[in-house]
Amino acid sequence: MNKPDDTELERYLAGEHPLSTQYRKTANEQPPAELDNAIRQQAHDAAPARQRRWLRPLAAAAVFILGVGMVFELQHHPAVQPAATSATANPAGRTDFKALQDNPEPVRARKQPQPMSAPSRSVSPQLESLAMPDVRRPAATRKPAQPAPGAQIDHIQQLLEAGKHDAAIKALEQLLKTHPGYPLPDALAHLAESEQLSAESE
Amino acid sequence: MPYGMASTFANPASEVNADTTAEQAIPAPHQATDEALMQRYAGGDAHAFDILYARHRGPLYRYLLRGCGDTDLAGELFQDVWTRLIRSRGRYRVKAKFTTWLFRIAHNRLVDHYRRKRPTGEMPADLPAPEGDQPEIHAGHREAADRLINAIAALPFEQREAIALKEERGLSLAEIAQVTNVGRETVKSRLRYALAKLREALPDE
Repeated sequence: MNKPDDTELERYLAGEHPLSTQYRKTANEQPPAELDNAIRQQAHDAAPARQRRWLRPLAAAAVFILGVGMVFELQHHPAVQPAATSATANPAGRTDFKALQDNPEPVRARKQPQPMSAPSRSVSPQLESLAMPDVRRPAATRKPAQPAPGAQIDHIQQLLEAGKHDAAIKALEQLLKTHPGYPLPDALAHLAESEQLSAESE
Repeated sequence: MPYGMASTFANPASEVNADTTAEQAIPAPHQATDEALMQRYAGGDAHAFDILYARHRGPLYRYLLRGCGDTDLAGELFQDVWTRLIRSRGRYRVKAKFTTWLFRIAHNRLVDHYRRKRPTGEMPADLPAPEGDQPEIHAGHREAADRLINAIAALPFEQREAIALKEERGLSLAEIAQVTNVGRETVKSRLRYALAKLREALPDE
């Protein structure tokens, strides 16, 4: 039996083999046009560029409108109180801006930056709640106990069988992050590879 | 760095600057690298996909056709590979050459297909050669051309695949090894044996 030699292989790898010449003349199969159209359409449907270009200015406009609305609401909302001092206390409980102008001290005090975690005693509870909506620590959130890797793999495979590809990808990504060295079945390893999933964070 | 945003590339030929818009920094589409086009597509530029697709559709299709030996199946696998690429565009990172990544997806898809058919996980040693009565494959081929295609189709899967990757995309030994997840020496061995068999089948080549 003749054993192929490396001379021929090196010639082949360098593109100087007659086989390559013949192959280039020969291999001209192409995918059908309807397949081309279907794939291109799928790619275009998945990447609506124009919509994305509108998103940012739309988002900026929405934030601006919300901000203006909040300022307007704060100025006219009856629950907003100035600094609670005897000079500005209004028995009706409404913000007395004229009183604030006449007695600037509480205004200056109010304008001083307040640490989020240590509200000033001069700030009314209503204003405190508006200014620091998240001041209360949320109830201690307990991380849900992670199921075992084997159970996660079963779950991912069930998602794939149910056609829930995106959910399966997210679950697989989570598994790789929590158990980076866990051996995966071949199909999931291939999927992770094709989706460029890794245990590394961005 | 979030996917889809303009970014500097490892390949300096792309000349992308993170501080400029994609339209200003990236060269004309026909000059852009595959990696640059894929990132543009990930950012929402569907036209970038069209260019990528035009560049790789033929070689990828023929690679799958050589791998499975069936036109209809090659079409299914072909569409599946592009679907996976489209779905994972948001996660695309320039970690490896685009071609290597694309054909790795295709290789995995071929392997998955055969493993579903053969639960033992063994790849078929041989696949039926493309039949002479499939005009869409052999239209315009001369007799010598038919012999070459048939000879390649008669190779074992691993050898056939190595030849197809070399011929269709000009991949190097290292790149073929990366796509097929084997060592470089294994790829050399497969190509050696493939060349010997093809030479025997085509003595006048």
